[in-house]
Amino acid sequence: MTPAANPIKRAAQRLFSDNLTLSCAIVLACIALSCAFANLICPEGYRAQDLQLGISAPSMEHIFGTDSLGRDVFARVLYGGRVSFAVGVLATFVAVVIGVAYGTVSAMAGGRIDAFMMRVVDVIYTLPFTIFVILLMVAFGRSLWLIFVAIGAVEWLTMARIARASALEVKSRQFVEAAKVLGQSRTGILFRHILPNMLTPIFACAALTVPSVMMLEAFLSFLGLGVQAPLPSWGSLIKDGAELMEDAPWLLVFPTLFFSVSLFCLNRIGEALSEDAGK
Amino acid sequence: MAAENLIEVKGLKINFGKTEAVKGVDFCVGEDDSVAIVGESGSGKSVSAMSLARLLPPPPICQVSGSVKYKGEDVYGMSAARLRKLRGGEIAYIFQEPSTSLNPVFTVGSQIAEAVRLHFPEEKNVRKRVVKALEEVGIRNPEQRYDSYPHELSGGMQQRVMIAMALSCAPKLLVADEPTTALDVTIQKQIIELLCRVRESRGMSILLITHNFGIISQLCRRVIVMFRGEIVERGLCSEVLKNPQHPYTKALMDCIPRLNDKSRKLRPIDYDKLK
Repeated sequence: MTPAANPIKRAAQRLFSDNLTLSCAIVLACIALSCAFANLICPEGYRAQDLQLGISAPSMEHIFGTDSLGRDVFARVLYGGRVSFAVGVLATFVAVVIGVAYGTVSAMAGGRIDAFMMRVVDVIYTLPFTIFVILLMVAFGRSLWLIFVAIGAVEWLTMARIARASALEVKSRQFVEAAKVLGQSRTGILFRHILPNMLTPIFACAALTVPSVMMLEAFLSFLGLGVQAPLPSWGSLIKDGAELMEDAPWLLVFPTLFFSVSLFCLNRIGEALSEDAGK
Repeated sequence: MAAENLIEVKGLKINFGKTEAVKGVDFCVGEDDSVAIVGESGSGKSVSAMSLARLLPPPPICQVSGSVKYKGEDVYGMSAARLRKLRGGEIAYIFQEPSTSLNPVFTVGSQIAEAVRLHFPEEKNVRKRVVKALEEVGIRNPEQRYDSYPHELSGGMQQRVMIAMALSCAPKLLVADEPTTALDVTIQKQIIELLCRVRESRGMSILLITHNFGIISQLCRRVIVMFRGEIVERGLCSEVLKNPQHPYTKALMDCIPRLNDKSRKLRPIDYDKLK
């Protein structure tokens, strides 16, 4: 099959051409959709308590069991997935927008400006992430938005480097020269010729950024720096579950299962896309 | 020679850092004229051609001195907006490698349409104009080819698309920088014939950059021979080809392999003799 020239079609072709990637995409879609429609599947919400019931093992009524406050774990996993996916997608979006803009500007400017901009990236890279986040939390208090900012602020660096490398490569191709020769302006060349040809590596990198962002969010939540209770995220559910691992393993098993399966699927899709970008 | 020159180059010098690529050349291209610049790699022919529309990288990398005038207007004194009008609208270029000169993610039609929109923003029926341009360069089924991606076309077709793109903006001068080098011989012939035909039908001028003597005589009236950044010989094509004066021109023509003379060995250029 000849690869389609349109990067979106090409990505789709790539995803559906091999069974493992395709099944990952289906599983991921199922998880993401049930999280998205959590309010329809579990209308009672993630905070509904049944204190009399307390901690209970999986049963017909609560298929994943309940936690120490009698809250349905299934509902909490789905609602927690919402937070995790939202952080993953939004922070990646922020990282892509900042990173691509920064990297492309750097590549187009060239020379000293380029060197300076990339050294700034290098310096930010050296900041230890955890300390950076703790400092932000101390200074501004805990909020979901701060998690976006903190993760976005770290993840855009890689994106900027990839965008810069890709823009440099496209910039030197002859059709850019040909566009210049036709009297196309610099912005015209940037939006019509350079950015569209950068999409494949950007897609691939973004697809791999989503799971790493979700991992960071889980890591922060596990440390207690993430989302505020009672709002669940997969990271905070795993943390709660880990505390009661011996008495109530279902509290740990189900969120971990959802989390790892989602990450595996996202990684597989991201890798399929980057194999394609490498061609 | 026509009284009004399209392009007048005087004392053109191009340096890349300490490397002197072009060491002071003068030449001109008239209206309805056809000139070939011949020379080997590194003789400065391509950079001279690029300098006509100020396409070389800006100063710290490349210094250009001397004067380049388009219809009496100094190209190196033009504003950025005027320059964008000049490029494509009045001086159009086609390059050696058609497959890399087309953007792989857009259809060829939309790329030609882009050129038309740049130079004729008031044009209403862009698609019709593009299809006409594709037809003019001898592409069959232009309506369908409009929606083809570059990788779906052969090399010869891609070069035809590049020519259509250059012609769609009705330039006065077409600079063809080794337009046939990447193509095989039969396609070369077709492309040269195509260039001849559009030149005659449009009364446009052509500046052909090449190292291939075979294609010059068909397409061009005058020839300029460049060697190490200088013009060593110039004149009418028919005369220079029949009776080359400068030893370099002779040596260059000696390099052309001949079919009917089997005893003759291929002679490379002996640079020590030329010094």
